[in-house]
Order: sequence, then C-alpha cells, then structure tokens
Amino acid sequence: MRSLSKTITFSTILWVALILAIGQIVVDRVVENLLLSQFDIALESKARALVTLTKYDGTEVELDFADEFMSEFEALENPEYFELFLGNGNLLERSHSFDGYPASRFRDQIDEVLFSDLELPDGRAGRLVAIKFIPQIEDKDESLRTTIALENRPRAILQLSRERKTLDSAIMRFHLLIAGISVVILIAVMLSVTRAIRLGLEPLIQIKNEISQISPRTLDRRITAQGQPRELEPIATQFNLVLVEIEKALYREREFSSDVAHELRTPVTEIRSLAEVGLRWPAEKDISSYFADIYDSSKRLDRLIENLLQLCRSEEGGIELDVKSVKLDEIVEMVCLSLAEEIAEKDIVIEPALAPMPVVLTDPQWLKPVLQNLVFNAISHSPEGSTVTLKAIADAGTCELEIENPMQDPLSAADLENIFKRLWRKDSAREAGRHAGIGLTLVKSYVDLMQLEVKVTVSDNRFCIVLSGMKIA
Amino acid sequence: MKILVVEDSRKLQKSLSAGLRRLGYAVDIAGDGEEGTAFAITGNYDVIVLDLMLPRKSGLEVLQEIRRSNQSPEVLILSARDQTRDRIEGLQQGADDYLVKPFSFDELHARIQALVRRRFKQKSPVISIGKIKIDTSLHIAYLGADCFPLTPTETSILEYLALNRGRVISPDRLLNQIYDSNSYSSKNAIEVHVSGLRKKLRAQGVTDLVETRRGFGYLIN
Repeated sequence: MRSLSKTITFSTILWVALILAIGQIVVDRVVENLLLSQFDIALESKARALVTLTKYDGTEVELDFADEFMSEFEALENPEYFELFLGNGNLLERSHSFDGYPASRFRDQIDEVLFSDLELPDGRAGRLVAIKFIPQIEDKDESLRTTIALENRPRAILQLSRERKTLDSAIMRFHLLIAGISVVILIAVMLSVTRAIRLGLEPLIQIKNEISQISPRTLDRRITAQGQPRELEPIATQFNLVLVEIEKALYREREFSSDVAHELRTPVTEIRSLAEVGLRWPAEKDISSYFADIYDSSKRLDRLIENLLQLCRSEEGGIELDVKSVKLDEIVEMVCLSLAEEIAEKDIVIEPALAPMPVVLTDPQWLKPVLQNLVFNAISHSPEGSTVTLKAIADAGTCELEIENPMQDPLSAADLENIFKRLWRKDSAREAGRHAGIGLTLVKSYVDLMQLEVKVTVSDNRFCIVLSGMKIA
Repeated sequence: MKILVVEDSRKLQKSLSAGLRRLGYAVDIAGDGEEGTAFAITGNYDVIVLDLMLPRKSGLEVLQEIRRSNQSPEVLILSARDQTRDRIEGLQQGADDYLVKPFSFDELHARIQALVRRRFKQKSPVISIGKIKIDTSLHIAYLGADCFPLTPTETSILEYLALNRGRVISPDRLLNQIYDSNSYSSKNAIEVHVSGLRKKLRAQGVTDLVETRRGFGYLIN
C-alpha cells in the first residue's frame, strides 16, 4: 500500500538531491573557471616577465634571460618550459628544460594571448600561454624608438607552459568538498524531513488510530476534533458529523427491523396460538370464531408483507412512470368503491367536492394506491358516523387534492413530524389492528416517485392531508 | 392456580384464556396496561403473563407497579421484542421469565408450571402425600399407580391445598384462586367440591387427607 510519509519523504529527498546536484554542477563550473582563470593570470604574468626581457636592438631580437634567476626552467623535477619564436616561426630561444626534446608546435595566433592545454614534453598535463608581442627597443639607444616604426619592428611569440597538476588537484579537491557537503546536506535533509513528516503526520496517525477503534458496535465513539491542526480539524469535525448520521441511520434501521419483526410476529403468534389451542381442544365452544380470527390475522400478515415489498420496490427506485391523462373523479370513485365495506362498517359519509374534479397527468398505477391509503386512513381514524371530505383545487395548471377528516385520537405537532416514518404509529403499543404504520410511508414513497408533494396539517381536531403538484391535462 | 393475562391482542386473549382454562387455571384477562395494573395489584394472582407493548401503559410500567405493590406474583413477559437488551431490561425490572413471540402454547404452559413450582418452592412437578400423588404438570391425581378420577375443579382444589401443604386455606382464597374473577361461583360451591373430593378419597380408603379447621378453612398436612 502507498505510504503518505514515504511518498513525501521520497519526493522531498529527490527534489533536494536534484537541486543539490544542479547547484553542485553550477558551483563546480564557476569555481573551476575561477581557479583556471587565476592559474592563467599567474601563467600570463610569468610570461609577461619573460616578454619584458625580450629586446630588439635594431638588428636582432634577444632574450635577456638568466637561468639562475628563474631556476624553474632548468629544474629536474616539475620544470617549466618556455620558447621564444620570431614572428616567422624561427625559434629564437628555449628553456633548458626543453633540452633533449624537439621544439614544440609554433602557434601563430591571431589573438595577442592564447591559452591552451597540452601535454608537456615530459608527458605531464600542462597549461600553455602563447603571447604575441613586439619586443621592446633597447633602452640605451633612444633614437631607434623614433626611427623604426612600430609596424616595421619584428613580431615575437613567447610560449610558456607549466604543469597543471596542482590546478587539477585543487579542482578535484573542490569537487570532492562540494560532493561531500551535498551528501551531508542530503543526509541532514533526509533525517530532518523524516522527523518533520513524523511530527507533522502525528495528528493524522492519532486520528487513524481513533478511527480504527470505531466499529459498527462502537459507533457512539467520536474522534478528537478539538486541538487538531487547522487542516485536520474540519475533517475530524465532518467525520464526527457523518458518524452521528451513520449512528442515527443504523439506529433507525435496527428500530425498523425490530418493528418489522414485531409487526410480523404479532399475527404469526395469533395464528399459531389460535391453531394450537383449536387443534388441542376442538370442542371449544366458539371454535368457529378461531377460523375467522386465523383468517383475519393471515390477511393482516399478507397485507403487511405486501406493503413491505411495495415499500422496498419503490425505495429501490428505477421505476419508470407511465404518465397519462387520468380522470381524478374516476380514480376517487374506484377507491371509494373498494373501501365500501370499511365505509359501511363505520357509517362514514364520503363527501366529494361539488365541482367536477379535473383530468390530471399522472401514472394511475401509483396514484390509486396513494389515494386508497389516504382514504382508508381517513376512514379508520374518523369517529363513527362522521364525514370525510375530498376536495380538488385547480390552480395555475396544477391540481391539489385535499382529504380531510375529524380525528378520533388527536395528533400533536410532534406526531405530524413522525407521520411518514416507517412503521410509526401514534400508539406505541402497536395494538393488534389493521394499521401497521406503513401506509403513509408508502404514500410518501409513491408521491416522491411521481414527483408530487404531500403535506399534513391539523386544526380544530380535523386532520387534513394535501396531495399537490399534479399537472392538469 | 390463578393467572392474569395482560395482552392487547384480542385473538391472543381468546386463545390463551381458552387454553389455560382448559388446563385448569383460573384466567383473568386485561386488554391494556392500566387495566392490567389494576387487576395485578388487587387480584392475588399466582402468575401474570404480561405483554410489553400495551396501550395506555407499557408492560414495563405495569411490572414496576406490581413490584412496588404488596403483591408478589410470578411474572412472565411475552414480547415480540427479541433483542438481548429487551430481555435483560425485562428481567432486571423484576420479571421472572421472558418468552419471545411467536411461542408454542406448550412452552408457555411449561414455563407457567415452572413459575408455579418456583412460587411454591417445589422442585418436582409431582407432589406425594401418602398414597396420593398429584402431577401438577398433567393436573392428574394418582392413587398408587392408578389414575384417580377427579373433576377439574376437585383436581385444582387438591393441587392448591397440596402446594400450600401445612397452611390453612380459607374458602374465599380457594374461590379466588380456582375461579376466574368473572365467575359467579360462591363459597358454597367450594364446600360442595371439597365434600365431593373427600367422598372420592374415602371411597379409595384415604381418610383425613383434607382437614377442616372450622371457621378458618381447609388444610392438607
């Protein structure tokens, strides 16, 4: 797995090494040129000294040179070399150090001063300076200076060479020094970067350790957000917020599972208990009512399972709507007909609006169960003999359907917040009855699917649910 | 043995009360928490079968009120909630047993019997008094190895007196423990059943098993 600290360390060291290498090359070049230039200056100075000793007396050029003053030209070890040529290439003078060696190449350069590397006669690497000059007129005869024009004076070329081992070794030592400094800097950078990264990543590692201790069983834990570096604090805070949401979602899921289990177990328990007692004592006086009760519980179980499946399907999404023109009147009538038994049982009066309901654009496959649930709820929660009102209000190309009923058991504002929650019921007892608390959840799910809106209000002990957003055809 | 079933499901009320009555228990029914509390703290029940999710007052609240009262029935919680934390909470609040729905009626009966034995400090379901043996699990009396034919009420009286061996039980107490609260039976009915029981015992050569303490009640020593 890729390591953040290793990546940062590696890339930092790589960049530092690259910068050091470039810096080293530049410094090397600059210093090498500087040393060479100093070496050349010294070489040229010495050559200039020999040039000043070269005189012209009007007839010939002479080098007024004495070996005893410049013994380096006849030294046995590390000797230096010079040769004096006339402008035509004739060798005029050469140092004793050349003894036994052939004359070196005559350099008739254009420039006055020329530096070059060469191999000395004894085989060592050397540096040569060649100076092209006009020899001075002998001081004793001042008249010559005026009678012989400068352009008529002979040209001479002095070639001075000496070994460059000291220069090369100085350059080499400098190279090594720079390289050594670079290595030391690199090691220091490596250590300091590693340490800095370790210190810098410490809060991140602490967060990692805290997170690694959080499991689905310990979602109530939080990571430390306070005192974290500025960059990490929002991450830790956000992570904690996400944890809260996950914990809530998990709690809701557990509650839902528990409620589903309860809803399923209640009718199953009823069926099983009735069947066991009925089978054991078939002569029980009201045994026939056991069959009716078992049938009723099995219907409840069937309805609950069907509703749960419908809820799962609609929450999964991916359902394509088949939108068409639907006569709202017809759907309401169909719903009321299907609930005729319930309406008659509680002696409920359904009062549709006097004005005809509009034709709306919707998918009747999903609108019908929505209305079925809403009307069924209205009937179930109304006192016996009361009136349930259905009203359609058309406005600006859309239609609202209002279903209003008097409440048997009053609902509070907090109840309204929970009313669309899965398996929520006003009575936490989940009394065995016809309501599992899933009808309005299904309504909300279907309404979202149809991209409509549903809202509930309570006033004067009347419950009103409004389905809005239906487009008029 | 008198049992109170506190359960909001009408169908479960019906099947449980019918089954338990058939097994010789006196059964009262309460349909919500408030009714259940009122019954439990005044009814002198041996066992209370208590649902947890009840209208008006939760099963746990009912249980707390029972434990605060001067009654000490055995309480069996019946609940669809099967989480360990629910069971622990129920037992910690003072329940004696916990049964998760759906349950087998036979298991419920076995647990009620176990609670009854615990209440009367009986390890075995069979109580032996001389030649008479009473199987409290089957509600059958034996004389030696033979089944001793008694009516359900006579069996219940014999079983209750045997479980309370050495204690004088008043006719009122017997009436209360053997019949449902809604029953129209009277003390005279108890006297008639005790008399019938004695007659059957004497016919088998068992005399003086059920003694009468005049003005106080009946006793098996």
